[in-house]
Amino acid sequence: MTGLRHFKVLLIGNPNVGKSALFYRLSGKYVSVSNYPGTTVDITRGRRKIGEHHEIEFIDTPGFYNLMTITEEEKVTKKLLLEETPDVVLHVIDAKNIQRMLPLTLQLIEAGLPVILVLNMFDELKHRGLEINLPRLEHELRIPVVATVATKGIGIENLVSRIVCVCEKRYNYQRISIDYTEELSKKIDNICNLLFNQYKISNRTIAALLLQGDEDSLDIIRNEKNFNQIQDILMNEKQNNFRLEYAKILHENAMNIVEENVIIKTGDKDGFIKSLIDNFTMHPIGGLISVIIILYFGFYKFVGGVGAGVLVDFIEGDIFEGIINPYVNRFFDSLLGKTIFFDLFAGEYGVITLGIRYAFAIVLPVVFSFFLMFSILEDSGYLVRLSMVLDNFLKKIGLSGRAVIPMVLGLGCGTMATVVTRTLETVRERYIVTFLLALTIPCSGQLGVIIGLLGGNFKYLLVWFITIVIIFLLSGLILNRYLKGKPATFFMEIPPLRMPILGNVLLKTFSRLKWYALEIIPIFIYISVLIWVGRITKIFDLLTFILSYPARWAGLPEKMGEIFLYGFFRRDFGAAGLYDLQNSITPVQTVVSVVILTLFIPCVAQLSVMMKERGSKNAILMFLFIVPFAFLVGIVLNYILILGGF
Amino acid sequence: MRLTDGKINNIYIVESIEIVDKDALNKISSMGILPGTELILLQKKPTLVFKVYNSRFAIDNFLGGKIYVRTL
Ligand SMILES: Nc1nc2c(ncn2[C@@H]2O[C@H](COP(=O)(O)OP(=O)(O)OP(=O)(O)O)[C@@H](O)[C@H]2O)c(=O)[nH]1
Ligand SMILES: [Mg+2]
Repeated sequence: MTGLRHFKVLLIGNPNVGKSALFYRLSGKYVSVSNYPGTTVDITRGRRKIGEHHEIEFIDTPGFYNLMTITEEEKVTKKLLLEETPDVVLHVIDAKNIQRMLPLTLQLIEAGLPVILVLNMFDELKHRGLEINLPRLEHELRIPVVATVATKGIGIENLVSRIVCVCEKRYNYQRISIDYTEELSKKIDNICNLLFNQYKISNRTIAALLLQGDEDSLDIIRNEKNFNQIQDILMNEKQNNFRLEYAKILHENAMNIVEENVIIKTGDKDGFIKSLIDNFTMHPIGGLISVIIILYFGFYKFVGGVGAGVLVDFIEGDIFEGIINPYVNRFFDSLLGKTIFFDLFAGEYGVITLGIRYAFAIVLPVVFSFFLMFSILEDSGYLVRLSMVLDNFLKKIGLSGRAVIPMVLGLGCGTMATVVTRTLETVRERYIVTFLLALTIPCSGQLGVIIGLLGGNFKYLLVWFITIVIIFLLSGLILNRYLKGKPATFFMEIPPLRMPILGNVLLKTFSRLKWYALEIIPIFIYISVLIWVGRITKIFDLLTFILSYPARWAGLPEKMGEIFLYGFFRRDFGAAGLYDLQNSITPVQTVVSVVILTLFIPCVAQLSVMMKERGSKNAILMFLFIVPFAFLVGIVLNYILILGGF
Repeated sequence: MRLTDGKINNIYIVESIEIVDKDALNKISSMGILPGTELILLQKKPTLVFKVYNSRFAIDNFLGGKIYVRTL
């Protein structure tokens, strides 16, 4: 009886080449797949049993361009390479861009890693009239080469059998070497001769990285007995910029291989409509027009109208108010009578009549329609175009176009978006976006309620919108002015427009929804219980009493204090509470409270992610600023509106 | 001339890249741009857009100003 043998397979490669799509095919575990570079911001592990005797752990990683890493996430991947011992490294590339990506393959081969080259997106290569001679490429590189189409599952079986073959050490790697110039070769040898410890990657690779000034490699050789001597050599070499020379050599080596193996049959052939949309969305004016079209139809009409309108009315009005609540009230009334325990489950604030109702009837439909819309935009490749169009504008508030992605996602869920700020390059940008997400950007739960409350009256919706935009711009400008650090730069690969695949869109929407539901539903229930406890112990009365002061200063009824208190637990919860109150307050009061609730501190979940991602100190500082500031804006807005004769 | 001074739809060959700013250099070479690389400038607004091999990249003027090109 032989036991299961365990193996580890690492997927690495440039951003947006289909690593996560491939990971899903290989491991069966779904992670976000989207058509923009920088989707994956964390490593994910997934196990799968293959045959009787093998269990393989697949590891999906954030994309990176080369071993000289730029962002923190790229460093994560590099760290895996430097510290783990994978049985196979899958270098996933976009087949049609083999010229640009093969240099990294060569680097990995030189590093002595068990590489399999995966030529993904082989369908797009063919579509462009290109062909690659696989057996010959394999022969020249002396590593397994497999063509795949991850989205359609083509080539996966073949890949799996090659993986098993390498895991079992049945593949005989014969290392090819990179042709360096004599001078560079000598310098690399010099350093290699001084390295005595064993590393996960070859000494030649470490030497090459060191010569390019790589800090991470310097870190891992700290224990070398010749460390000081190596440092001296590196000091002397500092002014010779090897970075470019090395890249050039790798590139030339790669080109020699590519030229003989890639066959061009016909030219580019993109459909007329596709290239029209492509050009339009990238055009300076067309781009702006498409933003407006998408905002109007995608968000205002679809998320606002269908999600927050039709769906909410149906679930809230017909299902909850009409069927569930009366039934629940009757049921608990007969079971518990008029006791405080009745209030725990039913009545105005009950777990079911309030907590579950808010979660399912008001928040979930909006979140669902938002995520659906967002997934379609992500998968089409539109978000990259939006990044481009907004780059110049975002520079003014210290951000690059890249920040579009977490900020738009923030309109769905600020907690998720705060995690996604990792796709930004600098700590400074991450800080600014985290703050803007916490202060100004409403999540879809709130957004749905806001559109529901103000949607009937365009004038008030506009007042809300303009106020939030002004606060957004002001805080961005101020942060950009006073935060230390270098300004953001922008570069982003523009992926081709792709027709969103229905399966992926739904899968992604549901996986986000699941994440959201698992996170919020317990919180909603837990808050209902807390409110119940708070109400019978009178603690809530005290807190609502305190919060009712700033509420009154902003011209709002006292009951708003209570709603702000809920808002602390979840923004959308507070907003949903407001929804219940809409008939008893004036339009001005509604706008002012909606503005305060939008600006008000993020929900508990977002705050805890902020602490994790930005550090407790920074998160608490933001928190302490935001609470009084939200009320201040509300007070000022109330005065302006009254003076303006609203 | 700098890439930012290029004309739309012209093919250029990269002559050199400014090497003082290591961060910028790193990003530029990430895109596969090296001295000798051929690229087509596709757009200058809202950001620079060029095509190199089979990919298109959008970059801002800050990075574009660090790439020196000549015509074929
Ligand atoms: N046509 C085609 N599209 C693909 C293929 N594989 C992936 N895609 C699409 O390419 C895009 C990127 O896929 P991802 O799996 O998110 O790429 P990734 O490498 O994980 O990207 P990062 O996480 O950003 O590094 C998605 O829109 C996929 O649907 C393929 O073989 N053919
Ligand atoms: Mg990914």
